[in-house]
Amino acid sequence: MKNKKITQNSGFRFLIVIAIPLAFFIICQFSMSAYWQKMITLFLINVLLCASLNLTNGFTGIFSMGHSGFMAIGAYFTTLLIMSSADKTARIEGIPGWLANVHAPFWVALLIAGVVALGVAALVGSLVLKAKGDYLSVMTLGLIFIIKGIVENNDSITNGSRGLSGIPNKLNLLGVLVVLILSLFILYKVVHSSFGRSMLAIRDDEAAASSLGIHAAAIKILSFSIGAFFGAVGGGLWAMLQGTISPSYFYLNETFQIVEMSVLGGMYTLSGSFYGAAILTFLPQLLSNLESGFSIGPVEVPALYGLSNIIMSIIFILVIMFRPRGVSGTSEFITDTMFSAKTYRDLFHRETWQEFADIVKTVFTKNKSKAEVLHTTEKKEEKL
Amino acid sequence: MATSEDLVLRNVSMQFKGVRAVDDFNGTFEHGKIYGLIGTNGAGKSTVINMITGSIKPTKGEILLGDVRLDKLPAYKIAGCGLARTFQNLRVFKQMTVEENIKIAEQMHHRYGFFDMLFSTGKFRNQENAMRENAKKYLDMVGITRYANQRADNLAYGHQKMLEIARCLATDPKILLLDEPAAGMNPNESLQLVEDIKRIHAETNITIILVEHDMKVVMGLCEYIYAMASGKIIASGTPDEISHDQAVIEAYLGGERKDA
Repeated sequence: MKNKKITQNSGFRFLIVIAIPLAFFIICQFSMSAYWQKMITLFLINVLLCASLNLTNGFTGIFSMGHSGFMAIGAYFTTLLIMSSADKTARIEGIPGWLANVHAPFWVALLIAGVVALGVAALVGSLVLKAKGDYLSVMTLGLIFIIKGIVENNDSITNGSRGLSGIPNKLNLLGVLVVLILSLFILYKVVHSSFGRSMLAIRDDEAAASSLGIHAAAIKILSFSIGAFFGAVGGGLWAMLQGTISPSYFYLNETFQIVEMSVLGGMYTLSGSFYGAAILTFLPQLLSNLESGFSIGPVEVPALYGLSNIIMSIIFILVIMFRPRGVSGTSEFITDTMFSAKTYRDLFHRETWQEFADIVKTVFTKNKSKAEVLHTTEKKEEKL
Repeated sequence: MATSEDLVLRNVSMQFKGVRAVDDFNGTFEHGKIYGLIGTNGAGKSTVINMITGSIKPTKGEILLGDVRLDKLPAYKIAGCGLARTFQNLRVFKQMTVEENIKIAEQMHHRYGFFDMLFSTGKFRNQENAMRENAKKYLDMVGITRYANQRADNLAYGHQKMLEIARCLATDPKILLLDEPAAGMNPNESLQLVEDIKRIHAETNITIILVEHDMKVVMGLCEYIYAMASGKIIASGTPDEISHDQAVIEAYLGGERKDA
């Protein structure tokens, strides 16, 4: 038997990619301050937004900048469906009766919001996805302006530019985590199927793809729509987390932030969204502490407002220069083993853990004589 | 008599603004034969290929595969009718592995639904496994099996060309259109290419339409040749007839022929 690498061991994989992160988030849920809980929840939502954008921008090669438009659709539909009718009548002047009375559990609301965004994306996509490259990006950017215009001018439904507040928060950190895992599961399956392969083929060479029987237009619209679906779910979660929304939240700032995350983390992978979201969620917060002045040993740095922005842009430039494909590059840590039943069956076999222990032992005894290491493997062979 | 697998072009013309790239092309491509399409640069050879495979639509005339009007169909449906093509400048999917390149082509015949994909059902696994098995077969046919798991852009130029041909074969075509397969190859490589194409033709018995500059390749392979100059067919016939045709010699050499 060959000496297996530690990364091929189901037990190790389970610990690193599932058990430890899960434990971390559970600890966060129960022992961290409200502020950090909110930050981590925001991080998880950003991962979802970013991963869904990667589907179009990275995998299909449609560089969309309209993601915050879909977020807005998700946020408003979710909000209007989960707010109590008393709240709605109190806050929105002249709300139609049927809208005030309509109500849905949050998960139904999220699904409806997603489906609406999917429909809008399919409609918009069938018009704009004929364009390519920069033209397409600018056209998708136009979507944001249109949606903002619609939201601002329908006061009796959306309360216009004053926005809505007092949105009930139905999901805590762990709830958001569950939604994220489900979404990533679906996105992963989409990417690793013939549909996903078609997306990559279209990105690499659309003419060649069509010559092999791939309906490029349909695949592009579908991937745009699926991205929009999860974008809207992310928007709904975002609204519940913030408790208040207004049209200006889903404008250029937000859309560019998601695009930044996606590019920085690596838009050609799903795992890239974790890096991107982590950097852009936590770093500005941590850096903002520095703005009021700090000292490195004897050197006193005076208060410098805007310092965090400067550092962020330097980081961004450096990443683009030295890792143009983003932090993750092309390596994916969300792998088939995470979703395959075999991984979990393996966990109940003694061999998995024995192997794990052996590998760990090998790693620690590396400095000792090599013969000893060989000996342990031989012994194991005998046993088997 | 035309069978359902013969490709017929009737009075096909292509007008690009002021330029008439192809002018009244009439031709029949019978099933199972190797055809050649020759001509100088700008003669309209590639335009003919592009029109047949649907990446551009002819401004006049009709293209028929049996009873099907190909000129009315979008490119992806034409592929479904059994036409596959290679490109003049390589168009492999560079960022995908060699095996995935082949799988893309096979997908047309191995379909599964959204539900199958989401839950990795038996159907999903069967289809994916079948595609992997078949991919090996096609890579064997062109002799690049050992690169199956490499990224396509890591392959040598000649191997990428063969990958493109394998990818076409994976769509299980009736007609294979090769757009200058010998371009950029040295004499030895093009000799090898002739052998490969002959072997593939013998194994699959599909119609092959070859657009080529290299006369050695064309003469060595084709059973029937259409010669074009500035959008028109100037001669057609067997390689022997073409090589003795006065119009062809004039178009190629720009003058009278000196020796027989």
